[in-house]
Amino acid sequence: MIPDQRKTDEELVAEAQKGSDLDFSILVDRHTNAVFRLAYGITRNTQEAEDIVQETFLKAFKHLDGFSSEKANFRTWLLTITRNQSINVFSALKRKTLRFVTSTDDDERYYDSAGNPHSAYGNPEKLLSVKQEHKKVEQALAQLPKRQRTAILLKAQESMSYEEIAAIMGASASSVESLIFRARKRLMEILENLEK
Amino acid sequence: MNCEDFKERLSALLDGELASNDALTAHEASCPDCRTFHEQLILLNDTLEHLPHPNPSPDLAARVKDRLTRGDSRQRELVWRKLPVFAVVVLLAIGLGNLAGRSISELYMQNPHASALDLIVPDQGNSLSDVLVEFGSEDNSQ
Repeated sequence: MIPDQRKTDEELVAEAQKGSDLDFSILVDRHTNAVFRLAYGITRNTQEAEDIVQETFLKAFKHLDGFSSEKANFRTWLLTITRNQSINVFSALKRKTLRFVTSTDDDERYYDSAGNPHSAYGNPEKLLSVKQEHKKVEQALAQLPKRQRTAILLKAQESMSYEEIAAIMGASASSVESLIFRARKRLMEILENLEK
Repeated sequence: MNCEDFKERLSALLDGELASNDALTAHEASCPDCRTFHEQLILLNDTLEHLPHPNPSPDLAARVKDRLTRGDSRQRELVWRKLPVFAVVVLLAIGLGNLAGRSISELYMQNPHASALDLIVPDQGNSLSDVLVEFGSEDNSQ
C-alpha cells in the first residue's frame, strides 16, 4: 500500500511499527520543523539543533515498538525525546560557554512562523527595525531559565495545551501554568529594561 | 482578587485554559494597571507567536532518513529480539529431524528381511562397533 500523506500520526505509527519505513519517513517530514524549533529554542544553536533532530528521530525509530498511541500522542512523545536531548546538549554547551550566538548565517536563514522568508526583505530600514525588535525578544528569551523558556516556546510556537506541555516536561499542568505566567512576567521586565 | 491573581488567571485565560469569569472582568474594570498589563500581554504573545526562527537546512529531513536507512538501529534491535525465536525454530527443526530419523530406523528394525548393511543407519543410535558385531554375527550364522 502506498503511504498516504493524509494519514494521521497514529495510523503512520501503526504502519511503521509493522515495518513500513515509508510511513516513518512521512512522520520525519511532518515533524522535522517542530523538533528543530524546540531544539533551537532550548539550545539557541542551529547546528546543535540539527544534530538533535537527527538523534531524536533515531531514538524514536529505535524505540518505536515501545510506543503506544493509547498512552501518548506521537508528537508529544517525539518532543519529549527532543527536550531531553536538547537539555543534555544545552548543558554541554553551557559547560563550553558557547552561549547564545546569532551568526550571520543564522540571520540569512531566518523565516517567519509560516516558514516564508522574512516579510521585511526588500525594505532595508524596516528590516533593520524588525530585526532589532526580534533581537531584543531573543535576548530576553535567552535570559529566561531553561524551563520557563521551554514552556513558553511550546505554548507560543507549537500552540500546545498545558496538559501536552506538562507531558513533555514531566510536570503538572498547574506547574506549566505557573511557569508560563512567570516567563511572561519576566520577559516583560527584561524588555522594559532593554527599552531604557 | 488582587492584581497578581488577576495577571496569572489572565495568562491562562489568553491560552484558552481558563474560562472568563465575572471576578476577572470586575477586577480589570476597576484596575488601570491590569488593563495595561492585559494589552501588553496580548502584544507579547503576538510577538512570540510570530517570532522568526531559523529554519533547518532544506535537506535535514533527507539526512535523517538517510541515517535511518544506513544505521537502522531498530532493525539491529529487532534481530536481537528475534534471536530467541530463531533458536526455538532451530531446536524444533533438530528435534523433528531426529524424530523423523528415528522412525525410519525403527521401520528398518521391524523389517525381518532387512539386510545387514541396511542396519547401518546413523540415527539408530548404534555405535560403529555394535554395527560391526551385528554384521559379523550374521556372517557367522550363514
